[in-house]
Amino acid sequence: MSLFYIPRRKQDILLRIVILSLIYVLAFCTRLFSVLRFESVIHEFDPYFNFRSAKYLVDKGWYEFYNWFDDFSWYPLGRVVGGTVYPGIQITAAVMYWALRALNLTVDLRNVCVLTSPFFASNTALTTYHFTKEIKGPSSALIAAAFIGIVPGYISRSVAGSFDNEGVAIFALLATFWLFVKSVRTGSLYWSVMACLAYFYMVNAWGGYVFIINLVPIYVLVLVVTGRFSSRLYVAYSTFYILGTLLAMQVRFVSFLAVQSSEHMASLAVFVLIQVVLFVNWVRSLLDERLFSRLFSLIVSGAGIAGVAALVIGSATGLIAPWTGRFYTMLDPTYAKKHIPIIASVSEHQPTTWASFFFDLHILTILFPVGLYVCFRDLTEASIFLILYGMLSVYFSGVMVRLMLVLAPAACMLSAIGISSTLKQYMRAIKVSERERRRNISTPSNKNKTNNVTNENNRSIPAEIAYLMIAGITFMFVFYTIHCTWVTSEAYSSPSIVLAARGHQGQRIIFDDFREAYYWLSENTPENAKVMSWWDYGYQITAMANRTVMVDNNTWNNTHIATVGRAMASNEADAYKIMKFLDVDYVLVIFGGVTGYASDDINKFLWMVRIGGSVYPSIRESDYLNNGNYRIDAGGSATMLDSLMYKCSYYRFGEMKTDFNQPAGFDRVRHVEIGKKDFKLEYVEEAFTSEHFIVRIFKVKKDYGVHKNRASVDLEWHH
Amino acid sequence: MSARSSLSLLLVILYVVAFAQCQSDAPLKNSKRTLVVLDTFDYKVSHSKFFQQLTKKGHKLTYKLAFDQDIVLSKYDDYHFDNLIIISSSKRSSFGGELKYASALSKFVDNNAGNVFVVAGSSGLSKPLREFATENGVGFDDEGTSVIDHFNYDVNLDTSFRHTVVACNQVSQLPSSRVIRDAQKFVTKPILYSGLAISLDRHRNKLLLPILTGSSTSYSFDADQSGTNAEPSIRGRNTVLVGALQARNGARITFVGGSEVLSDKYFSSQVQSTQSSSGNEDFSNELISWSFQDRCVIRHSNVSHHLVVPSAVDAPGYYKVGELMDYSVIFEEWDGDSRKWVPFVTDDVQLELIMLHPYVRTDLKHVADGKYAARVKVPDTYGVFKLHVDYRRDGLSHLIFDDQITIRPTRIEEFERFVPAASPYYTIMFSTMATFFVFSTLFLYTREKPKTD
Repeated sequence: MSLFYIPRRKQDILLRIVILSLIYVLAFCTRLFSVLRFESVIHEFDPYFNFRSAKYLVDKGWYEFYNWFDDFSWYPLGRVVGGTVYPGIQITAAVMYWALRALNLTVDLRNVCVLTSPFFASNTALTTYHFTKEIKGPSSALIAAAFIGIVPGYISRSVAGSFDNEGVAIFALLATFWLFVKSVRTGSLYWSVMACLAYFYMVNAWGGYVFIINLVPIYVLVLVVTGRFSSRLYVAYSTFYILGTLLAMQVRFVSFLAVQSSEHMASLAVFVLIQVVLFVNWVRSLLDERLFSRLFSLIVSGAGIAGVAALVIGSATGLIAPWTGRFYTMLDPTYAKKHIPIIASVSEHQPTTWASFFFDLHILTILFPVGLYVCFRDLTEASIFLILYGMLSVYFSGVMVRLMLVLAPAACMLSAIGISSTLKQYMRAIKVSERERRRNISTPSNKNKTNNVTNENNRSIPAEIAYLMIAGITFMFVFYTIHCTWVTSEAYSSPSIVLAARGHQGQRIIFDDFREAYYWLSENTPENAKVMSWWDYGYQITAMANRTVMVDNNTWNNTHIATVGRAMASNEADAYKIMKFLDVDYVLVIFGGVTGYASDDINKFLWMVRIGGSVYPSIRESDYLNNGNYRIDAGGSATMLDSLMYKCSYYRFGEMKTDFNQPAGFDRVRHVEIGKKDFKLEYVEEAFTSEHFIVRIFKVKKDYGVHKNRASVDLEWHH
Repeated sequence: MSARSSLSLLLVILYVVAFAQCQSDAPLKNSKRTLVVLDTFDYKVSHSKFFQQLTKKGHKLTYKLAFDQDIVLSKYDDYHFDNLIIISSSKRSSFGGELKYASALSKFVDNNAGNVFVVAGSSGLSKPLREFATENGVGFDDEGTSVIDHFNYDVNLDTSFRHTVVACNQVSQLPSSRVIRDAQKFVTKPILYSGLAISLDRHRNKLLLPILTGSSTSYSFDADQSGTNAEPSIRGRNTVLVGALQARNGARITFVGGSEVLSDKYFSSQVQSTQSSSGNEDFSNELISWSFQDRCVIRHSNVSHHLVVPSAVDAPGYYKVGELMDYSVIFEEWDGDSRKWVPFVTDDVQLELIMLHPYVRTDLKHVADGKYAARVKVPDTYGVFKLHVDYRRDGLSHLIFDDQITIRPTRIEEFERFVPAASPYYTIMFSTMATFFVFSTLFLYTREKPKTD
């Protein structure tokens, strides 16, 4: 025997380990495009806050972080960061940082943060493997792990630099599901407690934990209704609910919401229900059938009335927190558009288009139903969970494009199960025909005997078709891989803090205007200068420029945002009063007219008007439109062309030629010549404009206008 | 001594010198390079006592004719003068030199914070000055009109018998007690005045203040038109003879309706009604000391706030909600006579704690030597607050200043560990624990009896 002989079963394990290791590495590496293309920077908006707070945590320690009152944001209200943040991601990064330091690896915190998401994506792949294994065995599990390693729907939120809650939350989500399903299967208290710990981590990491605390009760309910109630389920869920809720309450942002808010009520109701079910089962074991059914109807009606009464009283007294807007959006996709502009204004809260389903999931969209079919065919407790998870996440991802992230793992697992069982089917056909061929040659006399056994599989699928199918599936895999890699490199690896474009000769042009401007702010303005910008840029300004902002991406105070929106939408004189009221020193606007950067403030401006108008009725959207059209050319409305936002964006833009065949002042985003070119600023003055005009900063004049010293202009803002 | 320590010593010395300079230094615009712009140099003779008063107060006077083409106020935004006195009644539409531009005076005030002293000449007010006045909400009555008062006029000087030389001897005619101190003394020594009437648009411009007004029987009218039915546009107490504007940047603009009030002739005239000399010299003295910022210029210094407990000197990084804070500030007033900053004492200073809106508004009490203090309980609301003092009074320069503090919520470890009100919960907790223990013990160590059937 050879030295390297490994028994067959061990071979299997070794192969699995090798494949998993490769997936682990691949999942990490495929997310590094952004680092290679650009540099190791934090991306986008929210990650900048996470980075800033992680830094605060590392610098000042846990207690300071927990008690952190941030007076740099939401001036002058401030923000109790410790109480309004899911601290999971910061703690994760800090722990990894400290661990590396303890090993004498002197890594920069920024790099730890940049690589947190890819690292957790690898861990997610492992967790997915375990979860799928729990449901359908190791072969499906391997495919699922491979799928999730590169699925674009997940990569979009977990590329290197995207230091956001979702990066670690998906890992925690799948871990919770896996451990819970395991605890239901085993009925073990141990696994249930582990599930609670995973849930605790999830609550720490992301507000999406609400999905778990609703999905799990629904799952339990379905099991009870379908007559699959067991003591294992009882142990698993009771432990999970009580311990999980207690742990969730430890997170300051959640605290009493975990028992009061309506989003958590389903879990409580199901908890009560299984107690009742257990009790009823016990009573049934004592009583005879007739007596029991009478008692049962009495109990059910009584419990129903009590439940409804409790809900009504709770809602009326405000003990059960009112349903939040995001929740309504879940049930009615058009709710937010109608009622809450601040929710509707965020692009990731928009309903998902079909194209983006295919873009983010590719073949998984097609394989998803196959997986569902397989799960239904072999219905077990575990597969019911996956079915529910899949169905619910499909619904939610249709409502909000952001929740594609929750769907992606479900799609991966279901597809893996589907494709694995398909592959098994055809592989078996090939194997059988192979064996048969061999057998036919060696022992033709035994033919009749074996026929009985193999006939069933053999007859339906000829080997040729099996080969064809396998080849087809292989092709699908190949295309999936190509698609995922392409999407990752083209669509999801832009840091959005540094922009790239192609020049006329095809060369790469980098717009580094954001950092240029933030650096200018940090170097050239007083330390306690207050910067007013639209809320999108709040986190970046506090993190990179280290200056006070009025509003930021933690959109907790709608009125304050509306005030800023109103200032942007008002004419200079009115805006000046508001800015004085808010002690604004600088106004920062993002302008893409020179470069063609489309997500600039002029394109976001109608949202400022809408949000401003939702609080201050004096701002009317129709004033900014011309016959229902939003225009900034000569046909734009007078109010629009007089607004602070227009003036700040287009100040002296009329003197500039942006294109050869176009007149001066040609906006390359809107593709029109601007309507008002020659105007002067009276209450603000230009302080800084970045290289490509993307960021423009204006200083608010300390005193105002011509008569600043000698006339008493009414400066009070009457709102 | 190493080079480094000697350098730091030098820095310290420089700092001390600079600091001493600061302390003894006059207010920013109290150096007294004064340009006097006149229609004719005759004014130098007829108003010699007025100019002497100025010289006595330390003004370096430069005389220029109004139409002199080489009037130069500034070069490269650096002004050569701190004060500007213009006495003009010329009918020409613009002055000479740099004053040719209508905005020159405005710029002088806005960019230089220079004081402007506008006096209407013997035959009215020249057009550029009238425009400048209008821009500031000050209206001079039309040419040809003059202030008339049939009850309070001076017999000696009123040679035309039109009662256009009015005698001001009522305390109520000097409403700005800070500008003209001791109004009582003019009861016996009336101020003689003849010239245009001024109306101040105080509704539109709250920075204006009247210094000398006519009595309730005075009015402004063109005496030649006495036969017509025209009504006088300015009447009674609204007839302002001398008015002023306290600009936000500290500059003061004074408007005098007629140059005679400052002339030697009026200075030395005997008033028949009171059998005394006129009060014009005293009035002029008071007026110019205010107009050129020798008085009524206040400043603040040494703003400090800190916690009461533990008693500290420095401001803490954060105040906790509801903590007690001691706030103090020193107010000083410039005394032009002794050329020193002296304590400013008053009883109407207020401190506000503002976060979008005032949460606390309290009196700052005078303690000693111009130091004002208040003990404030900071609001129960967390956020960034401004410690805002806004002290604006007629005749005084404006004082508005802010300090920023952050009020933080209670830290998690600062809450009380034991809350008596929660004792039922404590009881439940411990009783549950005890019961659980007893139950577990019983459960584990009690053997179930085998069923008999």
